[in-house]
Amino acid sequence: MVIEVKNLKKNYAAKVILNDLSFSVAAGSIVAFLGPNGAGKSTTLKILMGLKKADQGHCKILGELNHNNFVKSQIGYTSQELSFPPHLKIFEILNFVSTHFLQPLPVDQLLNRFDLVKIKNNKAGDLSGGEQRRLGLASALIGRPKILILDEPTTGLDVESRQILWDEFRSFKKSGGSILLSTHDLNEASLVADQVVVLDEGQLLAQGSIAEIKSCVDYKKVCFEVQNELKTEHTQDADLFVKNLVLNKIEFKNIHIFDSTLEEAFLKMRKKK
Amino acid sequence: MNYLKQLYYHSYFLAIELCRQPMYVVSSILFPSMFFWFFGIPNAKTPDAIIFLTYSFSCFSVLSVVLFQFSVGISQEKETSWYFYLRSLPSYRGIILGSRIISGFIFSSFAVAGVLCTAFIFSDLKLADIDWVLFLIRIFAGAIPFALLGICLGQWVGSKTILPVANLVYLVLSFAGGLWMPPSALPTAVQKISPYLPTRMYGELMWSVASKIPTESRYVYGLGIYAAIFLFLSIWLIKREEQISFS
Repeated sequence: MVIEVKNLKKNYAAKVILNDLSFSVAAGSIVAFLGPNGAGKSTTLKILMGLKKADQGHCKILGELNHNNFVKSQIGYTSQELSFPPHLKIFEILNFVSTHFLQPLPVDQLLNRFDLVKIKNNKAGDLSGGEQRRLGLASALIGRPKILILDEPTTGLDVESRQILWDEFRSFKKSGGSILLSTHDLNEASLVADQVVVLDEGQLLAQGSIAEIKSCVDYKKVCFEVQNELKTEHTQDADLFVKNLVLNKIEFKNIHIFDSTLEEAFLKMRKKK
Repeated sequence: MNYLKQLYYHSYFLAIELCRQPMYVVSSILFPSMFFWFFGIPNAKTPDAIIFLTYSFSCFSVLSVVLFQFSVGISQEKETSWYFYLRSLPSYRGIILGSRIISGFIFSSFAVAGVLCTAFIFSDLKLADIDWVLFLIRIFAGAIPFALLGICLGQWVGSKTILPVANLVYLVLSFAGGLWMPPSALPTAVQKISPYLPTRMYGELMWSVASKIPTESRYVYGLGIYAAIFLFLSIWLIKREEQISFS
């Protein structure tokens, strides 16, 4: 395991932020850290980065408990609220970040990879949200990290920018890296993650593969048209449902059967809780 | 990456960032020289007066850089996500503050150079009129308490209120410390408190160089006491801030 979180507890005044949270991230995997706003995702990531202290419990990164410079050099991090020095240019920011690492990736290579070449002389204060996010991820990758810890890296981005980042996540994983990314976008989680950690009000609701999480919803959705009217039914046995439609001589058309979605699983887990 | 190299890069990029802010350059570096040109030089009728005022306004220019760069810079920086991002990078403790000290020194040098150039251009002051070694040592060593005061203010006051607070401290201390006009010309009530202010002590440290007389020890000790108090307070406030932000 590259990240191990054990029995993490955190309170702010009387409010419980994290309640006995434990989970892990395996080497070479992408883990989506899912939960609604205020679930405790950002606090957990900040504790992992050494930017907050846990009241109880501990987290290990690459087997180390301390956030020493070796551990920090193995992690690429982007925070939820990105703000770069507004008067520094893009290439200057990347040059500056690269000075913290022994063998950084060439800045030109990153500018190319993240489609930042044309705007490399633009000041950070003039960048759009998408450009800032791309710069954030380029900064996170510059030190050739083994782990990426990304706090809502695609929030507020257009489809094209999201696609660029998702492709980067996949290629980082292919090269042997591990990613823990927080998101409340269930679609993003199901598209890029191998594993999902579901968090709500500081508590772990579930951890497992997308299929495992979805399996907690034991029904399928059947959509069909009867007399030009669209109908939707939920059933545990879709085959039997369709057979019954035929046996009962109901004239239907355009029938579609859908597996349960991550969203439905998530909502069911929250209801159960 | 060793400590010095990283300190160099942090200072270099901080200096670039500050240079690109016209308001910062004008208010910290050009304003003291302009103020000196408009109000100092016309009042310097004798060679002694021009040296006295040049030294006073040099103090004023250094005060403007260190007080603002530390107070406003720290206060605004500690609330940005960039600061937290920097803390997540493999780096050394104290490097962020260290780079601020270096850039403060560099910008102070420019500010003092501006005042001196103004004096050389618009008055009869000559290079040989200045005791350079003592001037340079005292102008920077005497600024230490104000840098520490800036750190205290920056750690203590929030980013939304720091600008008026820093301005108030800066203007009151400069005026009451006798950096704009000789202490004897200050209003009577101000004259009574002036000798106890750090700016007056800083001024006395410099004026004694101008007059070629030894500095009264009470001013040297006074500045030392202020430095010790602000150092103690800044350490306490930094620890308190760390506790709030990182726990």
